[in-house]
Amino acid sequence: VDLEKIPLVALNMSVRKKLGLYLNPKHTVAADWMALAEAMGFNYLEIKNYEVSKNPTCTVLEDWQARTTDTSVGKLLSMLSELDREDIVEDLRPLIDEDVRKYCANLKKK
Amino acid sequence: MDSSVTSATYIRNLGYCLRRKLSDFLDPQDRWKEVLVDIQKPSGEPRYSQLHVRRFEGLVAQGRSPTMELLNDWGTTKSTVGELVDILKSHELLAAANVLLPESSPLET
Repeated sequence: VDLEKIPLVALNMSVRKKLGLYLNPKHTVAADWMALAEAMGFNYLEIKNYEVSKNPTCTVLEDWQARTTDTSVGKLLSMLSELDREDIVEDLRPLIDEDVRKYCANLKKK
Repeated sequence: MDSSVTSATYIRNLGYCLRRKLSDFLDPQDRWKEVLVDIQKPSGEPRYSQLHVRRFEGLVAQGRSPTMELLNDWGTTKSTVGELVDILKSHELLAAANVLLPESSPLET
């Protein structure tokens, strides 16, 4: 499957929660949710306001899929790679692939 | 979990107690800086610049452990315990190396 064509809704809650576990903590140098939000095109004030969110990673993901049309699972993965967060890509890839598989199976049923 | 650490274990998978023990050794006398400047990207260039060092120094002023923060930060890469132990050994920080891999670095007496 082409991950670039799989919309973000394919990712279910457990994957999103896990993404939060990796991205919510602030890092001194490495990329955290703020760097991801910036890569997604959010401006400084928007990012600053996400700070009060309990789970900023989840909020940012939802807002990204709501306001941009070219979001996809593949795009999210390539952003994480570009931000040098290969740890997330490596650890969560099996979970993400499983969600994508379920999403595609559901599409076929309809 | 601590007992299952090998040189191939990712730094990000280290347990809390082990990190705590490492900071006991590396926080005093800025020993963490010796480790930090030796950390390299896969491309061979240093991962942290002098400006980054200042950021970590700022954490000390907030009462946080620079070693803990360094392990968090470095842990976002695919680096392993083996790489860390090599750096520790090259600076003769053998007590700290011993915390991670007890059998591989017998303490010289």
